[in-house]
Amino acid sequence: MSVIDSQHNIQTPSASRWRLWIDGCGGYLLLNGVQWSVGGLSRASNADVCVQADWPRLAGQISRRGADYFWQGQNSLESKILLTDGTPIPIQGSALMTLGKPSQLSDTAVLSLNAPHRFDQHVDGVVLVRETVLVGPGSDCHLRCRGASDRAILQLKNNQWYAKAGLLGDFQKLEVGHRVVIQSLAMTLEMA
Amino acid sequence: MKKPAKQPDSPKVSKLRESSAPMSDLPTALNNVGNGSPEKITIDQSPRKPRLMNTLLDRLKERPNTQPLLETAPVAGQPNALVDFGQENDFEIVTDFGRGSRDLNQPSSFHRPDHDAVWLGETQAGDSTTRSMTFTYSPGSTPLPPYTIRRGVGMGGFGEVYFALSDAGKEVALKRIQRNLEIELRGVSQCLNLKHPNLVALFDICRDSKDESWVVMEYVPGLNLRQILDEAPKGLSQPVADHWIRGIGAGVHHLHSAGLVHRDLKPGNIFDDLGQVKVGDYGLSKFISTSHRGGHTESVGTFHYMAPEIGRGEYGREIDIYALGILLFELLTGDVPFDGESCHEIIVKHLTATPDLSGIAEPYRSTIARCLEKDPNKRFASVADMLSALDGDVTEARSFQSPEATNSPVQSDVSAPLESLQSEPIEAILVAHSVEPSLPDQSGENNTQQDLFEEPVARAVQASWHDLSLWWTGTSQMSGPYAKMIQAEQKQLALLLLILVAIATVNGAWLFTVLSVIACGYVPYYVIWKMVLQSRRQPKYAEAQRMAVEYTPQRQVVSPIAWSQSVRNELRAKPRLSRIAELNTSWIAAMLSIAGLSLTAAAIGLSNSPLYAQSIALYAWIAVIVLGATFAILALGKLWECDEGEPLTRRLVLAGVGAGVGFLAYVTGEFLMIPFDDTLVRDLNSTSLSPHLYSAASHGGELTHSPLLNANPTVSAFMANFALLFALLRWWKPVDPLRRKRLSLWSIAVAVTVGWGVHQLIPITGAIGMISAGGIAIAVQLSAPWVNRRAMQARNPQREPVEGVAVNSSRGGSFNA
Repeated sequence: MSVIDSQHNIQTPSASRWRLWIDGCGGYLLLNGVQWSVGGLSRASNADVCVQADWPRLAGQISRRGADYFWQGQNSLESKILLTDGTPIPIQGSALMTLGKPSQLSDTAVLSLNAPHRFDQHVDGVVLVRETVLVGPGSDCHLRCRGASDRAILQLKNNQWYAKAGLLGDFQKLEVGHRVVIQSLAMTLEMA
Repeated sequence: MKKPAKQPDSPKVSKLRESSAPMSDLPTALNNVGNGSPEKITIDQSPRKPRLMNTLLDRLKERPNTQPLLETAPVAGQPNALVDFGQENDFEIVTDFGRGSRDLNQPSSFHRPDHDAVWLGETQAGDSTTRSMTFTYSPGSTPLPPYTIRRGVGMGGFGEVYFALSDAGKEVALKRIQRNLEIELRGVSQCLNLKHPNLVALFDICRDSKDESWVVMEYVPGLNLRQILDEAPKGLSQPVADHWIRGIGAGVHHLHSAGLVHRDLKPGNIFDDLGQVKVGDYGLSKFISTSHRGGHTESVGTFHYMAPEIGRGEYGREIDIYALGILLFELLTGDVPFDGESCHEIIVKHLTATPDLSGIAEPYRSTIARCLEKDPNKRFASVADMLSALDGDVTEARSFQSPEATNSPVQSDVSAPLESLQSEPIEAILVAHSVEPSLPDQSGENNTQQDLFEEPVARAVQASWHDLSLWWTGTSQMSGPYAKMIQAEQKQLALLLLILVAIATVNGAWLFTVLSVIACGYVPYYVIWKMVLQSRRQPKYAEAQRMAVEYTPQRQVVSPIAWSQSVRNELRAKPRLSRIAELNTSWIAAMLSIAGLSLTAAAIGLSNSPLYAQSIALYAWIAVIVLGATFAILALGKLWECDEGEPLTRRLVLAGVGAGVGFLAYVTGEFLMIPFDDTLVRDLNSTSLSPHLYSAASHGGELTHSPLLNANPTVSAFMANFALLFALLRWWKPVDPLRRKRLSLWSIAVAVTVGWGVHQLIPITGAIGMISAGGIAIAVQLSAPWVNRRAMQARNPQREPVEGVAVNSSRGGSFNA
């Protein structure tokens, strides 16, 4: 994405898509909602989750019902498939995308790609947000920052992100375009 | 005055660097800290070695003139730059935090009142002391057009590293050189045009509007080896370790062949770039020349990976080979061979100790041992030699000494296994291994393939000759006390035959006839045979196809639990509307089943008795009870089919449903005027009935409380009976779509038995509970959906559940109450 695009996105924010850049950790696309389209990256692609791979422009949809995530291929005859933690998403092509639900405390899921494929927008993962996102060094965190020593909790309330350090801290607002430092975690949110 | 310094970026290793000081003098160097001696010390913080850091810090704190160092202000305009501490205190301390490192001289660290405590706390693994990795530039900044910074990646020895995008969308890593500018720029510029798949590519060196220097590098999105090893404390598997060491070796060999020494090989400098091993941070590499193999620069490397000769100022390519040996050891074991509580201890071990390689298999053991020789001349002469030793072939690798050969044979030789490991699809490997045993070049059973194409007569002669030679040499299968005697006789006979043949040959009159017969008989036979064989051998594709057909993909063995989980996941994915539709279908099926059962029962029961409304009503009553219960159980089963569920909760729910069914039974019984005081006789329990559940029946105008007679079960009795009946049995099992059989007679028998048992405790009219239990068990099984496992296997034979594995026994379709 070019700088111009980035600036444009900041000025005209989408309601349910953000990019979160965490220093020393990675970049993540945060998607709110209950249903997300998945497809390969192309000029005409407008899928919510775009992957630079030999996938169709619209490969299917991931939906969330309660705490469960389901995959529905683009062919309407295909039945929905429950996606459990670590389930590869059955898309024909060379890329292998898996859904992870690392924490039992949150229904938020993370989509990750096996090498050598990458998500669009130069992010390292896509987060399907359900209210809270855990950030920290542990494997139970949605956004795993191995070099960090602290944990942070991100919360989405009324389309506004808040963050706090650990379990006992106070939530502070995450302003789009401003870097926020929460103990050892420095992060910047921007609209995608 | 700034001294040249270098800093590692690994979080788990330690490095101490000194200026022109022998390694044996390191403790002295430490003591000189703060005394004005021009030593420069760079320390990595190692979570594995917290005491190492503590030792250094303790020594620092002991120095009286450390305090001015702590109060020094940063250089204006360079918030993260190292600063000089006067003309005399010319040293610097840098630590790694996380993926990067942090300058301990930063005011943000030292101006905290409890900075000492924080320092010490930071050395403890798992400590959550506040320490943020603060980068100068935030996402969206464009200090070096056309690149836009997206996030900070880490802090290297020479400055911050950022992930950035060009206007066109190219991902790069930008290293902002803040310290040791000249050294870094010189090193990087020497490496700018190095190209190798196992080296992190350096694109360019640029200056921004503030005249700051930036190195534009390839962005590596994967983890570094340090992070990977941290998650594998017992080391990596042999193939994975092999993959890493060959990738590292290929990259380092390329550096060596370009006349460079890496000098700082360590897991933190090695990256997994989407499956490709990449060696980074070689900008610090130093040119080797025959005349400058030592002496003119400071000692380098990281303690755990530091070759002993570095203390003497020698740093040829042997120090990289030494580090490769350490790396290989760590890859296989998860630990370094020379470890200690202090840097001094580690260094002494490097100088004197012999590594314990007892737990390492060959050829890794001997390779590591040679890499870790104290004498550099005894180590492998090149990385190619080392990697060849891993293959068990040392001599061949000697031909790769010349740098010119690097780009062709060595590179391909070294990286070939790596590339094949990465590129060869797993499926291909599996197929290859599966087909291989049937290839014709194999021995044993596969000789039949070879025999097929060998002329039979020749084969017979050859076999006979082979047998004869075996017999002659006495290696036949014969054994026993008379074996030698028999063999001696056979040899005499053979000699006799040979003499006869020789005489016949010399005589020769008949020889022409024999040869003519052979020529006329065998040669045409051979030609025809050969033609037939050719026609048989010609369709190689057909043969290949036959082999392919013979190779059937191995069935994916799925345990019953996994199969059950898989099907249950599919059930969970079913849309709500489909479930409602299925439930309605089941209900309709239940109505039909119960109607059929009731009619059948009535036809049998009323066949030998006159038809009265009361006797017919009894069957109708039972049908209503069974129908109500079946409806409720089917609904609950549909609700619970997605998972195994919590039995206690389900029993409680079922008890409530049972109470409702009991209420229904009572109400409909009253409506149909069923005589409730009928058949309360119990087979086992003769205690008196509870007055709370049974009312005295009006018998001849008098109320009696006889234990068995003249008692009417109240609505509570009905509710209690059915509640108990429902709670005791796991009614969700007969309606589970994953039950083994559609209709299990065993489950019906269990239901009736439990109904009988409940009747012994709380009898109700006509043992209606017992009858209902059996009816419900039949009706729910007939009407509930059922996943036919055999049919599924037929559709998808590769998902065959294995029988005999411990399965949740309740999946048999019976209650197992």
